[in-house]
Formats: sequence, C-alpha cells, structure tokens
Amino acid sequence: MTLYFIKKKWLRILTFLLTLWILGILIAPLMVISGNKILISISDYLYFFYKPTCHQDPQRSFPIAGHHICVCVRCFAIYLAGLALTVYYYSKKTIKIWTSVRYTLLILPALCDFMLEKVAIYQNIKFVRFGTGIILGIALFHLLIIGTSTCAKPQHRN
Amino acid sequence: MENQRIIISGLLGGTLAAILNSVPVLNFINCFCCLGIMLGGALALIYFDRSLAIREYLNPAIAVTIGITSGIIGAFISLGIEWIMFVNFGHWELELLQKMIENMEDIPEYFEKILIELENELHAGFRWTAILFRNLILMPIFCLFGSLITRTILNKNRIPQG
Repeated sequence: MTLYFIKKKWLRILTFLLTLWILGILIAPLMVISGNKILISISDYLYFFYKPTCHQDPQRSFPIAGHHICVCVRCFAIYLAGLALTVYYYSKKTIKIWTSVRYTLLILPALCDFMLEKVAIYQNIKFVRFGTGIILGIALFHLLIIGTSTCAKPQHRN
Repeated sequence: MENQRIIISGLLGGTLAAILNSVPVLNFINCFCCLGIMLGGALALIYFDRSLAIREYLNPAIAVTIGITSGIIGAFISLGIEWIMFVNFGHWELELLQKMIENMEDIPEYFEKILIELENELHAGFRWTAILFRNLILMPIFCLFGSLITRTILNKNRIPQG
C-alpha cells in the first residue's frame, strides 16, 4: 500500500474552491428570493454557469423557499462529501491509497442508482440519491486528494 | 519536446472534453458528475504517459499542467462546436422542450420554469461571451480533476525518482 504525504497548501486551495463552489450552488435561490433585479440577474447567470455540470431538474434538487438549488441532490452530495473529506484530511499528515475493490464498491451504489432510475425500476428517491452521492463523492475526492499530494513516496507494499 | 507533447495531449483531451460537453445527447454524460469533461483530462494524461519512452512516475505538476491545458483548449473548441450547433440546429434544447410541451395537456410547473430559463438564455446579448467565460472556468477545473484522478491510478505501482 502506498502512503502519500499530504501537502496542506493544496488541501487549503481545494477546500477554498469547494467552499466557493458550494456557496455558489446555495446562494442562487436565495438571490431569486431577494427580489432584487441585479441579484436575480446574477442568480440567472449562476444557474447558467452550473448547467453543464448537472441537468438541474427542479424535481431532483433540494428547494430553498420554493426555488431549486443550482445542482441536483446527487451532485450536491458529491461536493458536500468532497468538502467533508478535505476538512478531515486537513488534520492528517498522510493518506493511503485504497484498493481498486474498495473504490469500485464506493462507486457502484451511485452507478446502480443511476441505472435503476434509467430503467424505471424506481424514480427519484431523494435520500437514496443523496446517500449514493455522498459515497461516490468520498471515492472521487479521495482519489483527487491523493492526486494533489505533491510528495508521494512508497513506504511499504502488501 | 516536452512542451510539444503537453500541447498534443491537451489538444486530444480538450477535443474529447469539448465533444462530450457540447454535442447534444453525448453531453448527457456530464449529468453523472461532469464525467465527460473529466474523461478529457484523463485521456490527455494517458496519452502523455503513453508517449513517454519509459513509464515513469508522473509528478503532480505535469498532471496539473496537462489538465489545465486540455481544459483551456477544450473551452475554445467547445465554444466552436456550440456555435456550429446553434447555426445549424438553433437552440435545440428550447425547441425540443417546446415540441414536448405542444403534445402535453397539463404542463408541469417545472417545465415552464425550464422554458423561461432557456428563453432568457437565448435572448441574452452576452450569450457567447458568457459561454466562453463559463467554459474557461468549468472545463479546466473538471479536466484537472480528471487528470489528477488518472495520475493517482497510473502512479499506483510506480516509484518516484529522486
């Protein structure tokens, strides 16, 4: 198993960007609620900005005072998991790469949920989408944090 | 030589990311965590790795450079593809939604919201600048994610030099 040494600078940048990203997602419906024309225009651009990253189906998104946030429940869960993981690893010095089986097991639930919805076994269960999104986010951001670790040295191998 | 390899990798990855970001139907892949754009970054790094004479340890700087390069190149190619699509097919999302609504008796409320959003987008004067600005932020970020994740996978059994 390879042990990676985390460079805090990278994690700080990643945490900052993720926080901005999540704030952008949450702030758009609040701007609509405000009723201010300038803020509404900014929120229009925010919805437009996040559009390529997500289908933005209002029925599959969390609402804030009747207006959906900029991304769907699954995407939001992925980013939340990413933020939680970066904050968690901030207090750690090293990170171990997991086995391929573990990554596959973490990615599989979201993939199954996606496929089962596509073949209409069930439709739009928000907490399932949120849960599988969190698990997928952990796998993706774990790989990402290792990817940003600047100093990687193999300590021992199993 | 190194720069040439980076640019070729960026072009290849950027083209894939742009196609998966802009071509209708294909761009639905991005609904799954921006996978299409990330694949562009991944392809760029894989191509760079394959072009090396020896499979050596990839440092993060090279993954970051290739990810961002492919994202920036992809942003411009994507704008070009979107422009070609718009010239040939118009605002296809808006037209598709309008056709769907024509055949419906009761129009769901969220359909109307999407329709208004798409119409606003169409009439926005800054459409192309806005798309380029969006692409120039989003595509480097997600291509970078793709190349960094690929770096982790490619480096799994490699030993760093020095």
